[in-house]
Amino acid sequence: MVSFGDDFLSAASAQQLTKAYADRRTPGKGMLRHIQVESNLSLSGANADKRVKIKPSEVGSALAYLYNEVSGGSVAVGTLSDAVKSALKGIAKELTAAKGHSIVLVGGNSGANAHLAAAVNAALGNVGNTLRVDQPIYLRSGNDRAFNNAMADMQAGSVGTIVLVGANPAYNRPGFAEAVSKATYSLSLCDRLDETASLTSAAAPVPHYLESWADYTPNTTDLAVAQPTIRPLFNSKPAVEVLGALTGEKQSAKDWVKNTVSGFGLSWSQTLHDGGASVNNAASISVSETASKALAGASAAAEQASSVKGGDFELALYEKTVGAGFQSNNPWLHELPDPISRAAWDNYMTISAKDALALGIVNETQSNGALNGSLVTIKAGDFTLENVPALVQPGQAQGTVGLAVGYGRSAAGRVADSLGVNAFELNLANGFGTVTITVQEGEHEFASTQLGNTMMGRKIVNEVTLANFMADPSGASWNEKPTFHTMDGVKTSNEANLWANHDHETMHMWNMSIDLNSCTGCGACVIACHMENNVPVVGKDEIRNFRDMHWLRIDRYYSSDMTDARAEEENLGAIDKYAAMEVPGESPEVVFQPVMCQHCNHAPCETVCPVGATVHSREGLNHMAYNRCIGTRYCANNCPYKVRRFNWFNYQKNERFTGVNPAQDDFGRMVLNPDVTVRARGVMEKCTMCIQRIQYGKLEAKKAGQPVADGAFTTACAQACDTGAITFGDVNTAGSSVQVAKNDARSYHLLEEVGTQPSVFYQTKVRNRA
Amino acid sequence: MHYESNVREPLILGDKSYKDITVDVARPVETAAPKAWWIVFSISLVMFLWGVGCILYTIGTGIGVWGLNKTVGWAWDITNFVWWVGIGHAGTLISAVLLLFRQKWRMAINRSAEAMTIFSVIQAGLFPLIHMGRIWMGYWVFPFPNQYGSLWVNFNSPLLWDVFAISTYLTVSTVFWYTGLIPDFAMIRDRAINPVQKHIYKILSFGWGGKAKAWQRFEEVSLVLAGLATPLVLSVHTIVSMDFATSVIPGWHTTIFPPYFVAGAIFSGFAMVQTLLLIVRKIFKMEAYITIQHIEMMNIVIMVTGSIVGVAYITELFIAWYSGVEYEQYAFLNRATGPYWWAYWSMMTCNVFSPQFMWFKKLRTNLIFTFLISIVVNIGMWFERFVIIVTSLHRDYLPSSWSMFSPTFVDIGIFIGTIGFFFVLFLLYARTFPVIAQAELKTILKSSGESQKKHHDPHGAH
Repeated sequence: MVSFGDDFLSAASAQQLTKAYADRRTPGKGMLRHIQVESNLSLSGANADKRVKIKPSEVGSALAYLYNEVSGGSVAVGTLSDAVKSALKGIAKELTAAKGHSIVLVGGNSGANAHLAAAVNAALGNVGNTLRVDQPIYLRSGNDRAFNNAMADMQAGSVGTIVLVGANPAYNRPGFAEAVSKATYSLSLCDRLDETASLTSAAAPVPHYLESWADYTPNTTDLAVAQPTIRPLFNSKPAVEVLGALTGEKQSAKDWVKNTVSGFGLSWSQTLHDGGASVNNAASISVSETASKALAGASAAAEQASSVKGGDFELALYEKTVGAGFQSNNPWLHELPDPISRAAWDNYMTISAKDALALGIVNETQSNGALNGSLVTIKAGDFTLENVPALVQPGQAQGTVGLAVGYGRSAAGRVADSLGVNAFELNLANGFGTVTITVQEGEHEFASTQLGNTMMGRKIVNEVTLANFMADPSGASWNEKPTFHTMDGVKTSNEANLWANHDHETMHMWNMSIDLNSCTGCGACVIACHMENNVPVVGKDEIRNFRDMHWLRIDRYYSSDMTDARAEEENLGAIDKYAAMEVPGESPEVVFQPVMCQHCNHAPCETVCPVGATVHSREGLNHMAYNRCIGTRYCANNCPYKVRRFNWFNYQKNERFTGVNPAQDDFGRMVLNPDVTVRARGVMEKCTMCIQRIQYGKLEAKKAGQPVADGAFTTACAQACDTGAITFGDVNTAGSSVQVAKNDARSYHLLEEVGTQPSVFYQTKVRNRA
Repeated sequence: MHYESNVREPLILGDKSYKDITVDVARPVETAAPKAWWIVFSISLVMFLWGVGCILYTIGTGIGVWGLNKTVGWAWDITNFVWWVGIGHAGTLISAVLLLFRQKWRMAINRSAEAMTIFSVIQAGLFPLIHMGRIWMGYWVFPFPNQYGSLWVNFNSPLLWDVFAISTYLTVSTVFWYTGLIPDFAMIRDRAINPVQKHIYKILSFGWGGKAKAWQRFEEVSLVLAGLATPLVLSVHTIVSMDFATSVIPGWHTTIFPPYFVAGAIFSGFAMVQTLLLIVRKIFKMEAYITIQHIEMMNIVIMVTGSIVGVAYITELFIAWYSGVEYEQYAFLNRATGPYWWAYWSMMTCNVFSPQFMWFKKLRTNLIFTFLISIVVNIGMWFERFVIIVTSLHRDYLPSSWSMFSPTFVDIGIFIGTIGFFFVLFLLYARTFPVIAQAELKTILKSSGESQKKHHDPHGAH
């Protein structure tokens, strides 16, 4: 799989592609090899086995070059550096070797690039095999041409009435505000008085999706039906009813959904009961026709692509945790640090260290560990964006910068307003363009959650290449367990033991396996945990103070150019070695590691609590009794994994969190999970392995008179994980998936040498490279 | 024929009579406070009140008003706690250990040293209380019978050991100190003219009559209490060190900590005694009792304990290297060369290098130099605890969780507040208590013999 700037793991298609991607990346024979060619370090690029840095303007030429290489054609190719060419040659070789079962993806909005990618796939015989043109994904499909025409019509004054549904073009399309003012009447059907709704002649509130009937067809095979979970709180009307009334088809939203279901010839009550149905909605697109069209148009597309002008600096827009901005008033999404940069509550211009140095852009760590950075002005043609914070990003291609869209809202709500800058103001229709960057006066305060960016030569994320993995299935050579030399001989960490062991055979023993190979680092588990466990939102200032409350975090490590081996080779002393190790490489490999309470069976936190507020359960869990805790924080200090979170303030009442914490007003409190305590100020909290779900599951099994079945319930994080990277269950249940995982050759404990005997273990990451 | 070896310098100078001692010791209590006292007291009181404000703000708002974070869960709070406990150590050492070893020179300084101990243990005790997230539940650290389903404390926790260690220490020190005060309070009572004052000292002196039997009991109790207090000199800081030594954090998990902490505590305690006595000596004109010889003795203790601490620092570095544990090695490398290198080298300079000047007699008998070094040592000992706590925590096992610590105005305010509180207590003590154990001191006054000797043998030669 070769992706040209398509961040398919976090873009619109992620839900569809992530699981398939992870499944095909299962270590073993035929493991998918993933090459990413891009300018910004994206989530997909971070997961790739090989990553090639390229400028956005070169993508079209690179595809044309690749097309020539794989098809023997000779379409026009713009200027490309030798390094890129040689990388493309290698890619072409690998693709050719995998004809018919490879795929080339492309990101951005350029028609020429998309066409060239299709041509490469056609030349490789992928169309119809890996590229199922008859099975399109309908999520977030759009039509730029139609929209541009509508804008032109409005500007010309030929639009009488315009109705907007679920769209906010006043925010994300420069010029729309002026255009809409020329319409005689405009109506916005919206969930809030957003940037667009505040300009239109009228705004009509639509209900929240949890208050309404709806049906969804995200792809060609699935139909989903949604029914309200609550009576509408406010006086609102579903958009479908309004539109129906306007077109003379007055019926309730429920009837519309019924019609859709019966349109597929399905039973209403059965479909409603199941929440959806499988349908066959395949598009009647001819595979051979698509392929020949793609090949035929390649030359024209290449001509167009090669004419794209590059510049000293090129900006590629991207989407991060808040997406394109529609959900940007949701504080959970801001509190979730960006998976790559680990900065929260912001968007910023990413730039390579070399370019930053040349431009005089500075990123400095303050005495409290927080990061400050320079501010810049970005100019793209006639459009200017000021006060953009600049963040040095390892892996960023030189001569390119990145900026996330979805920020800089002005009428989204109390959380999102005036947060970050609005990248849509630069009017880059294709998602990239040439820009000029000037450093401004002033400094920006980042809320970065991770200060140590590299593993410092420690075995934290265990990695192995596919070749070595295949050569030694036992793991002895690549998953060595720490041993200790004692008076009684060499012992493992379980044997070299100071404490009496808990009995973990008689009852349940809840364990969790985290597969570092399938984890893409997306962060869905973090959000799920946040929701499930009423984790407080603390806002930018507190994140900056390293006081995030996440029970589950995803650590991201870059590789450094300095390694133990290299230090030895260069005869470097320890001081110089470690100083160099702290600096990530220019083109680093990236690893992700979800870390939550490891539920140690010899827990350092349990011994030090003076009041016994954190104790061990018979089922392999480390319990936290909130109402016994007096808040000495000794447990957090003594935790080698630093997963304990202290309630520094009364987040539910303190005024400084009113702007961010949903638990401070009546409607916001509706997100709280009634099964989980909201913790008081001054107490410690941490991952419970969703004890409320465990208890519920055990009670259900007891009522049914059955033993607890494997997979009967799981934790919120495991449930949310698209790739199935998190496996939870009873390791004492024979054949349970977690027991299988525990006995896998890839499994290891984090910091096993400390002797904590965790109930959480990890699966070694396998890299598909030589 | 009477022969006398004159190898020992007299401990009390200036041809004092018993009466002179009484008058000298009672003078600060009986006369109006000098202007300097009022100035220093006012400053201390303001500092104290500022600290009270910061403490109330913390309790009202949350520990979040401090500079701590998820990685560095203790910083100035526990640094200050250990620092104050350490300072407290000299008092007990001087009054109890030196009593058992019959070191008579302690008599001029033990009262103030013990007062300092008690006042600094009070400051120390504040921190474990206010560092709790829920101070109103703080009494749960005591093992008391309860109706919470018979919840018990966790006897495995070094913090619980601290509770016992500190409370025992405070109790024994206070009882020991007060026992010694009884005859001296009686002396002030007997001299008092103001009836209110007389009445107060009457209560404080527990009706001391000065009978021979009373004196005999007094001596016995002193000896027994000294015996009880002596192990505490070793145990308190040993237990405090176990807060760190029993943990799993690299830089904390160190078996050398108990002796190293005890030496450090005596080191800082003597430095603080030195600081205070140099002031008391000057302001209350006690030069005849707190002599250069006392200063020199204490400087020697500072030099010896400072060197022990230095050896401990170097041993730590050696063991970190020798252990071969990468986390341990990095922890110590990071201390010396990481972002907090300045704290480490401040500690090294103040604690290891500066006491070495005391090898020179000229310097260790120089009052101004001694005063400066005594302050430098206490700055160094504060940094030692900061280095141990913050630089170990801020970069532990997983680099993803590394952070830094920077104090807020509240952190600083509370520390300043405890310094103010300490001086408020000490200054009140200096105005109302006999600052020298005069009853004991009189036992070492060579009154008649000395004057005879001077009369017959003015050159002191034999």
